[in-house]
Amino acid sequence: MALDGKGIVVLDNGGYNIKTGYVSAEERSRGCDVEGVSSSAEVFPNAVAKPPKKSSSVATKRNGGFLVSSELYDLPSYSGLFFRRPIERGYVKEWDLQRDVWKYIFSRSKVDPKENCLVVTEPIALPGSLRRGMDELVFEEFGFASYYSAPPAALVARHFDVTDGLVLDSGFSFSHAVPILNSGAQQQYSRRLDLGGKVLTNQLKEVVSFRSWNMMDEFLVINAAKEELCYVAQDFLPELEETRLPLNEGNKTMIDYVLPTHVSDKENRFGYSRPSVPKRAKGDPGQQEQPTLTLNNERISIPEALFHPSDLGLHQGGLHEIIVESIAALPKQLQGRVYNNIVLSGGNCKLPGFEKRLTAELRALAPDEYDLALTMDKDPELSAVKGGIKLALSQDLESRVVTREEYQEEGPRVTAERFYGRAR
Amino acid sequence: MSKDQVRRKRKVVDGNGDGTGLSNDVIDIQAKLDGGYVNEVTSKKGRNYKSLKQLAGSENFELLPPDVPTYYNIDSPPSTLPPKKYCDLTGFKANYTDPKTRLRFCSPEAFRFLRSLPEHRVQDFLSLRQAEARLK
Repeated sequence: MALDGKGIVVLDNGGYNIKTGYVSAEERSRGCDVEGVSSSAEVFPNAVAKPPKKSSSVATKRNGGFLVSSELYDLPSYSGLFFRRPIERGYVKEWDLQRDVWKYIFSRSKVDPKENCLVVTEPIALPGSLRRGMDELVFEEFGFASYYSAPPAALVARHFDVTDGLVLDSGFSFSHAVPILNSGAQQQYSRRLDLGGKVLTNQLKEVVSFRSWNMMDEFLVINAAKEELCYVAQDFLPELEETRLPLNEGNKTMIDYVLPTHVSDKENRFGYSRPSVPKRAKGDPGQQEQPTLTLNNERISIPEALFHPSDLGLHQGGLHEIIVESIAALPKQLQGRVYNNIVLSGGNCKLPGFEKRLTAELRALAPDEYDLALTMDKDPELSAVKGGIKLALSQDLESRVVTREEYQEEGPRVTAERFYGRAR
Repeated sequence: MSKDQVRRKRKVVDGNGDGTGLSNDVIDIQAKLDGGYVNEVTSKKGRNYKSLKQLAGSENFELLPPDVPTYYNIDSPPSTLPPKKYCDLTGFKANYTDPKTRLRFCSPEAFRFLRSLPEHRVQDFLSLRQAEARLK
């Protein structure tokens, strides 16, 4: 059997973070419980970064000053980092970079590719040349014993045991609504919205740079500010009006974000938030001021773009519209079941108020004879990797993997046929 | 590993004949991997990568039957909801548009400020919502 005595590496290859899990051969034969193994899931940034020249930091001469993946967390300051990401708009574009990041991850988690099987995620409706790139990376560069590739949505469905339903996967690069029928992802009914966390962070970065400090070089700091402070408004326009009020007249949104200083300060590399205080007069001899960023309506208007991409000049429907669009394409008799089984995954779902707002928006659009039910994990970012671990512990994986020998015998055709059911 | 070493290794492999059952390319890549960290991040002679548009364009999607999912046909269609208008300077709801600069604004103060902006700054503000004047 192809998987006998082999461990299984689960890799959710996201645009911002790679989420990994490992199931050893022993855990497979013992039939371990899924939750126990899932708790060992790890997160690595999917990027290489170069600190600015002037900083006299730990940056090594190795790799020409580029720090691979989580090495960048050793830096004393995250200011002015230059990022290169293997994944661009959700698709792996720079295979060499991707290889470097994977190599780093495998050496960190002490995994020998030749002795293991790989379960990896790839976006749906992938152009054939990119899929062949994945085959080459897995078999020819790393020499994995066998591998299986699936869209993240299929793994999320496995995690939640969804047989008929829909997975909304809203990640860093883009968002997909993928219907699931008979436990399989239905690619032809899926819809993609070219909007994800990256666009939101960049928009916040630009807006803030226009309105107060220039933060154009501070992706990580602004991303941390977004994760900490942005939330989804339940009723956008009234809440926006409320942010016009001054601080002492009922404005509950305004908040200060204390920026990291450029002095090496390990505790405060991302910055932190604190309640806003009314502006003091200039030249006030108070205690020393730290540089702060006052966020007000940005806190709600940035995530609002998920529901109204037209705010950013993107002519596509919002998340609720792609869900309805994708369900409307399904056969009529299935639609009710699918509306009753919507699963949310991906980092954007962590925004406070997201689930509630999406339910309200969907309720307004969906036919009223259908009941709505939305489910979400505690950490929706890890749903896919947990599903992958569940798959690895089950018996279903055996028949789905392609081994290295098969690939060497038949070439990329065999992976296309087995993973996607068609030769291309 | 230097280029010479790689070349020498390849020669050795070629000389060995095909006893391993692997193609020479695979052995070559494995040799490269075993030989230490080859830095691809900064190597000057990097491969040229196609942009997503070029990639998707070279796939001949138009030859496929329409029910096969591709990069293009799973695209979300335009929204059916009316776009909302926000002040380009403050982010509040905008009831007015300046006919001269096309900037949206919410209050007399914002209007006074936007009229004081030079043209290139106006374009910067417009580019926040992808509405700047584009030369085609």
